[in-house]
Amino acid sequence: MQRRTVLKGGASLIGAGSLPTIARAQAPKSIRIGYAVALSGPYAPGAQSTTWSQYKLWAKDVNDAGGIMLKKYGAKVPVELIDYDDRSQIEEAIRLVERLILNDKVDLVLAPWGTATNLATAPVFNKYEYPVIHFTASADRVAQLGPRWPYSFWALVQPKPATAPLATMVKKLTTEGKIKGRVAIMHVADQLGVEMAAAMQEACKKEGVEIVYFKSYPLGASDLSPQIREMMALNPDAFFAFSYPSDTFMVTEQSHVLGFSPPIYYTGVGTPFPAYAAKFGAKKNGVLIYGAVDSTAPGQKEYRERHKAMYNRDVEIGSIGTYATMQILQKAIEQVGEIDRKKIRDAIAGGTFETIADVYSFKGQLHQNAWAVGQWQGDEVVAVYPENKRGAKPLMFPKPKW
Amino acid sequence: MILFEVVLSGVLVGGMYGLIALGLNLQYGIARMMNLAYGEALMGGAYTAFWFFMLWRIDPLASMLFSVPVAFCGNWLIYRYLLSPLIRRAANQEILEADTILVTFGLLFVFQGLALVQWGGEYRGYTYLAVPIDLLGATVALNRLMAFVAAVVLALALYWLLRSTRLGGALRAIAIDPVAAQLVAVDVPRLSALAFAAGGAIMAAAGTLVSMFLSFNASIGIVYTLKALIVVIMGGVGRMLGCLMAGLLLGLAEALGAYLVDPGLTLAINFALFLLVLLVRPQGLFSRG
Amino acid sequence: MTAGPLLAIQGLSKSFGGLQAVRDFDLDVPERSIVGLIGPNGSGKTTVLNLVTGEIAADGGSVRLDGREILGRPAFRVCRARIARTFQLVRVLPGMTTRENVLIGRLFGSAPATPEHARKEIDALLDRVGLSDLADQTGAQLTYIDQKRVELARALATQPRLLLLDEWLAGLNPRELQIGIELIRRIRDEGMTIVMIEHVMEAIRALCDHVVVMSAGGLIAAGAPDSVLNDPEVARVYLGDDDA
Ligand SMILES: Nc1ncnc2c1ncn2[C@@H]1O[C@H](COP(=O)(O)OP(=O)(O)O)[C@@H](O)[C@H]1O
Ligand SMILES: [Mg+2]
Repeated sequence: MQRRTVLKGGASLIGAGSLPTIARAQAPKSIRIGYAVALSGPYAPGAQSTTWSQYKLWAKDVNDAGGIMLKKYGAKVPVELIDYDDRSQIEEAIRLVERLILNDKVDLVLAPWGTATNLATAPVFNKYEYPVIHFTASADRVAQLGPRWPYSFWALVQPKPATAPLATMVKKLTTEGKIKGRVAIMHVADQLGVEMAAAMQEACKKEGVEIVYFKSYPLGASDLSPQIREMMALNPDAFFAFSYPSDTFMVTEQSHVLGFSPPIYYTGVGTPFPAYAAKFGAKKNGVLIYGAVDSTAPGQKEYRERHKAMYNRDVEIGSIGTYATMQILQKAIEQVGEIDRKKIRDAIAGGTFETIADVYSFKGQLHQNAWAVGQWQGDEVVAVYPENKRGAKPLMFPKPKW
Repeated sequence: MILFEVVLSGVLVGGMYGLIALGLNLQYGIARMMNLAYGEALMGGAYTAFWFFMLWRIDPLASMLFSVPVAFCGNWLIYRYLLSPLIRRAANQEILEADTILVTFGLLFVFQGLALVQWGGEYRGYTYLAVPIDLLGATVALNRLMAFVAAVVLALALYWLLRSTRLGGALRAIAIDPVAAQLVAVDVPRLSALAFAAGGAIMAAAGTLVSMFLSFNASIGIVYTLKALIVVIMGGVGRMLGCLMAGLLLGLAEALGAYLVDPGLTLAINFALFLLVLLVRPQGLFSRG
Repeated sequence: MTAGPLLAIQGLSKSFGGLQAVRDFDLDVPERSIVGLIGPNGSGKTTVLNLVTGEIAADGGSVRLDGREILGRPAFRVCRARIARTFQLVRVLPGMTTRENVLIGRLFGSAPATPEHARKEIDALLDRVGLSDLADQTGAQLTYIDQKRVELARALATQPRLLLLDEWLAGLNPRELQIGIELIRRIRDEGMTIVMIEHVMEAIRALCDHVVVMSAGGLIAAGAPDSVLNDPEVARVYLGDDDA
């Protein structure tokens, strides 16, 4: 260790003495990028598969290509990741982001995993003026916080735009006489579920859509069949569950068993997971999904192959979206041509970015026109709403009966 | 009719709660080790069932032939080489409890970390016997019914073993008073290790059963550890029948509360019941004396 | 068998932190005798028993049963070597019935029996200590006196050669005391060797062949009951403020 430092010091001395003054500034050895995500504790599984894995994959892709081009130095500079485990604790995440900035003096810090952690660490990023693109965060508050946190960008679809197309869809199908328009809503009693359900309720009210069932269930519920029976008695023709992965799987299986098969069937987080496809096979066809990516976006196919090669498993859309935020960051850096965080922030704020997931542009730091609703069509997750976007596929209606 | 189905739902879930509480009771009530990594055996059983089913189409119930002995041996080794040395080292009961909680908390992270590295963080699930069965006019999923039956059979077998065999008598004596037990020549260290190992084995079996109808990921263990702990405290530490009853009661309260009050309140009802028991019968609902 | 004493304790020592609870304690217990162990509260009597049965580890010394060293064995092995005891503060298993409590002793003990065989023997044993009527009550339901009987029956069920009684007669009324004394005498007459810690002098006089007196962890007097109990030094220790 010590010897290497001495050698390096010696080398730079010789370099300084023997070479003529260089026109360009010396390019940094690497771009140091830090992050803290949960690698242990209850958030670890989600954080590991959606966030951590993508950061690693992106760094590998960048370095395989020689690094990020920094115009100022006319050189490609590799990235170096500095990672910490926040142990699923929010206070720890805050502490670690600060530590990365103050002690490790990294060039950039990436977003943590989860809505609560992102919201809690955002003030730190903004205090030290580190640009950050939050992906795994969705909350009503985000829309209002934009001006207060100029360095935070929010890439995921937020509750209101995520649910508005659903109400519009029900309204349209009702007017066309295809369904009676009786909506059943259930949601997990957790921040995302509550906000999504409330947004949906409001959207339905605006569209004049009738809600016949609206109830929550607790996180970690182990049986939802009584609720399904209750809904079945009300005979809804559109079902929306704002759910988390384990309940998404459960409510789907129990709907199969009990024969609850309305023509519109929507479930939340977990629906596009490879494990969902593996478990439900052909029965997934026609199920609507919270969020989506444009499966025809350039580079996505190659990305999926690289992902498979690195992790030996299929990818879910949250990972694709996370990877896309890294592409945005990379493009912004390349545009600026140096590590100047203020300029990078401005580049993100003003630019339009073509990625493997979507075309991103931020207004008020919010990705306004994000993909809101996807659908299983055959063996593929396709993007359905907003329907005017490039890559949108028409809705498959009705969902085939189970 | 719906009410009957709600009750049925509660009973089916409650049977599983009872089973996992029995296992914890073996570890905490008899071996006297508060094992925070208890639920990791459930995770192991679930992953085993999943992989056996996905890779080789082996029936989940058959996968227990592998996961249960492995969990038994693993837990035995943990007790023998990680936990029982703490007994010798600790100056008193409080220190021992603090030590075991620290060590098993570490174990929890080790097992969860291994599962994460090995299998990633995503949710896993497979479809097994997800067919409707008519039970006295109510519809239930066959996999849940099977899991319930298996849980109850296991629980009753264990109960019989503890009640009616020589070994069971010794285990109960240890649960009540290990000092008195060793003075009638009960080999307390060996039988404690056995009880601890059996607790882990039961949890692996429970993991297999749970995986038949619920999806899971690497962090599922702690959820069930806490559930089991609540049921054990409700039913009475060391009380086997009490735990079965408390498990059923908890399942019923959750289901009825969700239906009659609001599904979102299930957790609140859960904890209200727990607190009520703590206040009214701190020694456990079904404990004598 | 050797001609020496059944139990031979030599140089037994134990301290708890700074407190020397037992110091350099010697005791010989001949076969089929009753030895009384007396001394004021806190003088280390119970600790001696705990050391012999292996419940706590000794700092030094030797305890031989029939010439064989048993110090350092775990408690359940000491029991299998045929030493049984009762507790000063009774330790019946409260969640189990009287019969189950005693059965545990017979099923494990020094000569484990099959459950069917054991069950038959247990009824006779319960009868002998006067517990037949209470056989199906749980330990928690029993009175203090009956709990003591259960403990004695459980100890006997392990089939010991040496029985250690820790203030087993304490708290009995005069009638019960007579019954208790008779019971112990009968047990000895059937071949048992007994060490009894006792404060009831009447029982000591009636039963013991030999008495040793402890004070502050050490042995201060030993001999026949009459001479020891009349020793002024013993009286001073008992009545005085030595061990307050
Ligand atoms: N486990 C223990 N830890 C600490 N001190 C003890 C322990 N057991 C006994 N002692 C102490 O040792 C001394 C002797 O106790 P004990 O043998 O119970 O006396 P006795 O039975 O003669 O009344 C007392 O001062 C008691 O407080
Ligand atoms: Mg004493």
